[in-house]
Amino acid sequence: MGTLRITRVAAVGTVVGGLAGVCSATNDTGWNTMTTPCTTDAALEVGFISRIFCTTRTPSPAAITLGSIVFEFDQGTALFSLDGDPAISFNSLPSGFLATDLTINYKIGGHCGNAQVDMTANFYVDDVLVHSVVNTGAAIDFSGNFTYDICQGNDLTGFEIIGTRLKIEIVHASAGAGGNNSAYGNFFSNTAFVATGNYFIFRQSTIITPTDPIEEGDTVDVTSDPDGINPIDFSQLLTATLDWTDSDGNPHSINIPPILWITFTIHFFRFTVPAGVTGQIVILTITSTQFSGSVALGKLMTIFFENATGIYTLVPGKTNDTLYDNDNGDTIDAKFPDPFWKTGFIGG
Amino acid sequence: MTLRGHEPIIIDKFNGLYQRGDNDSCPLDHFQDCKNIQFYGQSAFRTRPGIDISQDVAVPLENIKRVYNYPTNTANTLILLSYDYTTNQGKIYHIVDATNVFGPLLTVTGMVDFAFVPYAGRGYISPIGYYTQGDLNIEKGLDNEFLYVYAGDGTAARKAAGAAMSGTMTVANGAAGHTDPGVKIFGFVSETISGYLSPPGLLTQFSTNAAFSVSFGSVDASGDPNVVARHLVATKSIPAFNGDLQGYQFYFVPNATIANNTDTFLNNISFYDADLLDDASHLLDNYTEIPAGAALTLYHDRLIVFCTFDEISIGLVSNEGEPEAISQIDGIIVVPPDGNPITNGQELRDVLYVTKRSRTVSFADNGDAPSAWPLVIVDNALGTSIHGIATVLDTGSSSVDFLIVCTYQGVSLFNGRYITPEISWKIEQFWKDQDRNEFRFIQIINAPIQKEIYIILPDRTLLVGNYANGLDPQKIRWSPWSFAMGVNTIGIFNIDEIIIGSDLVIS
Repeated sequence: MGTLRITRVAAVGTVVGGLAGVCSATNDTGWNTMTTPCTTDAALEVGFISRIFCTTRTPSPAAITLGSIVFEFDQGTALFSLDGDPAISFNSLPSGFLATDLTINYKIGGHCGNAQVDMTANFYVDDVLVHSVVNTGAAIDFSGNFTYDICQGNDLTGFEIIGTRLKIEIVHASAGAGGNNSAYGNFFSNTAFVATGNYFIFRQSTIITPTDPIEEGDTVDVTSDPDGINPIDFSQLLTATLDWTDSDGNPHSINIPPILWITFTIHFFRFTVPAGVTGQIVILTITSTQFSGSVALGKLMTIFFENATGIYTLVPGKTNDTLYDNDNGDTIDAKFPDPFWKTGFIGG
Repeated sequence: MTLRGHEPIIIDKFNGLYQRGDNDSCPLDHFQDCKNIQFYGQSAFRTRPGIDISQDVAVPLENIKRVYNYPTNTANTLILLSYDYTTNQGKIYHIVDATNVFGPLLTVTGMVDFAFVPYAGRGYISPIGYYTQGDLNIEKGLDNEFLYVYAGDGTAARKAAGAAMSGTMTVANGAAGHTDPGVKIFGFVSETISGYLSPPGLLTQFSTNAAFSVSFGSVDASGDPNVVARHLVATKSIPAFNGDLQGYQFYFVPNATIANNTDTFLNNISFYDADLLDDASHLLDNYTEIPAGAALTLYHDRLIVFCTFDEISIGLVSNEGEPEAISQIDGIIVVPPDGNPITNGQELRDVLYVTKRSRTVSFADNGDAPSAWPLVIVDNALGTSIHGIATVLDTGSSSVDFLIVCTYQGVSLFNGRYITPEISWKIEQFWKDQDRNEFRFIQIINAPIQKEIYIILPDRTLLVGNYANGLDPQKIRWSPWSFAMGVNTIGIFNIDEIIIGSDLVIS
């Protein structure tokens, strides 16, 4: 478990819906140094995203329509600060990264000096989103619930992966929402948003495409990169499973019992494939102990499995298969998957 | 019996896989089971040939869904579909050789398969979508998609056909010349680089004078960059014009062409009504954009698009020699609707055979419009899937006097009727164990040089039939082949080079 905050970036958001044309998003210098500073709040200084500034009052609640403020970020932009460290991009998040919660806080700047007003009723509550966090070049199949709070209320925002981008969407006010009329009109006039939360890294998986179909009894070696950021410590392994899809498209999952764990040291895991695994594309998923936020899992590397899709040519007389190793931009030579023949029964 | 008295059993013939009934019924010269072996000579076998990478480039294409041979005017090449799982987009590439790739020529969201036919060096591409009908998997032209044409030179594929020219042109008497006096309607037909003639556009009424030619101005250059010429069309003199500009018969005016897409005038055109012989009215009935279908074929120099998203039992038939000119009125053939979509079409011995999954019918070009072609039911039980008719060598079609067709009963020879027993008779159980609902993944090619048939199976392995000893149910020798990765598609080019495409997932 560690702390997470989303840092301010150069590109701020856009305002859509009911506030479009009235409010704009700006990238201010910080929570405590806004153009019209409010009461300083050191706790909220970290994770400052952006400031929303409105030139006129928003419509009265009776005319309110749904609107939202969207902060959109490039997945390659340094955005996530883990445990107070310098921000890294979404693409650089350690494999196995799972944000367990993310809290969006706002602070009213335009009415500093006025008593803060409970704005709960002016926020639209949506479903909690569940997302997969895909870390490029490494594992997939992570998912986590992002829960949201907003100070003074329990509004929800969405944290989404949109193609190659990330989006944080803060939805405001539904039609007919209640709340304090006068306060609502000024709510967005000078409001800053911060995003802080916690993360957790406890699971990691990778697609392994064997040069031969995995069969019962095969020995598979998995290593973690000792030179990576906080490499995985296999010695704290809790569970390991293999997942695959058969030719009918049916998913299967099978546990690798500890008895089949041959070696599991800091950077090395060797296991024997249990009975019943017949797929050619298998996902290995590992559950380890709960690490502290400063100990992230490293990138899984497999020794002899790779993504081998592409176009091939049959070569008469060739006695092995040469496959693309798309993960490493290379090729790999592999033996034929066990040629065999069985004659009819003699005397049958 | 003592061992001394035991008569040795000599097995000196190996005739491939035999899976019919129980294992006891397997003849001694066959295999109960086998994998990754290849037959050669009269009765020998060895391990199958290896595969090597086909692209010698830094970033080879991945996730190959479909590959076809693509003979251009200058080379024998490949065209294939690669799928991007992050964007859910299918992308078409043109593989010229091991180091040269064009593309993506076409990127379409949701395109998981495509149909293709080469024609005069160009390539016609139709995106296919996979759908379900109850529990049944079916394939149709991708919704809201169209037939595309690729020039073969690396430029992006574009929609086939095209709309009429729009705008307002001026018509006036030209220099001294001749016309039959009276009201006529003039217009222009644009011609694309692929020979497609658009419907007449810029329709303008004008009364000609007997002593003068006719001149045209403000003939807008077509917005289509593929237009290479614009042809003048006109009606004959109309005794009593009723105001309907499209209600009369148009003809191409002889020697009245703007041979580029830049000039905006055509001056001093003289002609008599009697010179108007080449009809252009039918162009008004053509599709300006042709809906995508699940299968493409050529028949009598006509392009046929089968099974669009909205009409699963029709084929759209082009004019002869004009693959992009398909009449919406009479360019349609209909297979009796039975809830199943058309899956394939193939010419054999001057007859067009059209299949559904379990039905085969035929049409014969009688010289009339396609809608008047007579339909004959060939087989009400056997048909095939969208890639279930073998292509031969690198032609992309049947070039021998029979077809090899993957039916539910087995792999059958077809010469106007399905011949029984099927050539997969020896492996009937093996064939029937294949998932019938996934037959869309079956793709078959015939390599006569190797005397081998290659069939991609629904489980992403390969079934190979060697017919060096004869193409009949008894002499063909079967063996399944597998690879470290699943294989999705197969093609043949440069006479006998076998190309295999692989994808991470099956669909």
